[in-house]
Amino acid sequence: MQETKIITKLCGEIDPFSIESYISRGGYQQLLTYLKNIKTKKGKLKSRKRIMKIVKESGLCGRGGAGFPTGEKWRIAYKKAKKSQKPLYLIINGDESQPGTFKDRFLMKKNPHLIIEGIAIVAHVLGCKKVFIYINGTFKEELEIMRQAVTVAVKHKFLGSKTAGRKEGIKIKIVQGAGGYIYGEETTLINSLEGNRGEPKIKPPFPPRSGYNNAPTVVNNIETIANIVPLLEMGVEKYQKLSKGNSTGTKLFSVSGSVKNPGVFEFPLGVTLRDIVYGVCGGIEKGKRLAFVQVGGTGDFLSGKQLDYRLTYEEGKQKIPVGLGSILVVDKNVAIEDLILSWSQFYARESCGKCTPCREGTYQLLKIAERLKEKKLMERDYENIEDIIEVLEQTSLCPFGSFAAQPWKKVIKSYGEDFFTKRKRKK
Amino acid sequence: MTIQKILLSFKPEKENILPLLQKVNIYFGYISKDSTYKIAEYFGIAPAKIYGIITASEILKSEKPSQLEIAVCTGPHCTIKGSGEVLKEIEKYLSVKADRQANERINLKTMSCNGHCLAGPIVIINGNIHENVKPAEVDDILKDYF
Repeated sequence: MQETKIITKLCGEIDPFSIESYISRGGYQQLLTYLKNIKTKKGKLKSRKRIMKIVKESGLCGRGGAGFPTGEKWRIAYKKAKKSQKPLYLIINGDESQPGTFKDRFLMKKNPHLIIEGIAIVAHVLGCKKVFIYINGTFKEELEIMRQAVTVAVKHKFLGSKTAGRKEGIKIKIVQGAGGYIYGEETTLINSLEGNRGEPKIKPPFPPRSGYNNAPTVVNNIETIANIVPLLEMGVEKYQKLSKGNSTGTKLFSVSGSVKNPGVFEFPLGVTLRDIVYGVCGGIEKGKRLAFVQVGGTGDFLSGKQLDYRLTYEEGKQKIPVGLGSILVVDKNVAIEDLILSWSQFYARESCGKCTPCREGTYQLLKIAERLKEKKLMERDYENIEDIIEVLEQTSLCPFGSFAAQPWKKVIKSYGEDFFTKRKRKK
Repeated sequence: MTIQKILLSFKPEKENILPLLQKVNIYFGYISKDSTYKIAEYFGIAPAKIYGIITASEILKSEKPSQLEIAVCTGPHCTIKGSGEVLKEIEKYLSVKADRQANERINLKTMSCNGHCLAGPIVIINGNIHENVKPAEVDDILKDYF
């Protein structure tokens, strides 16, 4: 199966540093068309409503992992802002730090103006004046590309005050993130923007009702925003026809691990894992055999027939939740102990330390993982594992604690309950 | 450039705290206790709050970094590609253990996935990214830093 290039159509073909090359391929047309329509007296409301309607009807879901319908999020925030007379903020989440995910940085690097055009349209539709783009602090190259792109877009009057003769313009502020996994979570990101320590807030209230400075805030992923321009170009019907099933549109998949050809690939939702792993990725590296595939960073270990299940945002039989779209392919030469240690190190390092179950639980899991690798597992360890997992899942403040427990749960699920008892220290 | 000059280039609004800390961190390499107090005074908040922001970040440092900062990626992709052996080789070469207390000269630590997966295993030394590192190449790479 070939890639379906919708968002990544121009990636690699245009120069990210040159706005002219983007304009020459039809760039910024959707923004200008929208602004033209808004100028006519009666057209103002129509145009805004039309775009809100298109996004809602298209069934576009947030691409940041949770898959919340984008149109619904906009509607809640827009209504709340109108009711409470507060400004509405738009925050673009580019703090991508899930292990094995590199799709947002790919988009920012290859086609920054697609993102900026999307942001400009969304900001005009929602009536935001200030937009933040929060980019992972370690992405130095992407930060520079995005900063340069915003400056050039202001110079060409696609942003700022003189866009299409309008007095009010939008300001985009690019923020270098503090660096850390938890900053990708929306309430932590807002906390960090407000000048606080990077820790999650308790939900509800959710950001569309009360976010940045207690004003309604829309937090959208970079990939979600990149979907807006192609969606307006294609129209709802054509966009929905791209994919099978109820999840619409395309998704970027970052494939890593023991495949011949790892990278970022775009496929319609509803694609099977086999199409990706054995199609564009060229299958497993020579001389190795597939052990399992994991999707979304915290998903099940899939192998054999499960590779023919469909990747969607829906839940159900023979369906795999996509999440962020990271696909990790593991071959049989990899020791599962090494992977458990890798995951445990990650979660112990990235736990922010606000709530006790997560801070202590991830640390204990790391210690157990270290002992597991050194073959020094003690009896009390495998008695404790299930307790730790349960406490992590049930009592942590934010989903991070539950994520930290997933690898261990999946190992027990795939390798049987006696996985740990088999590996106890020999006396 | 002194800390005062950097402070004055920002308005004392709360949203400027993170950019300011990043700037101080770039100029001095870390944010000292002294600077923390001055920044806190400028923004009118408790020094503990500033310290809290610093310790929750991977980029900002509260202590003077070592001369040789080595980070080895132990994300899932790099692990599959054999970063464990690379780490062992570096530990052997420098005769230090990873993730222990850093000393003035060397700080060897493991790092989470940074999104450079396509070129794994990744070793970052003093900000320079080394891609596709093989255990046999470790000697050559580290030699350049001594």
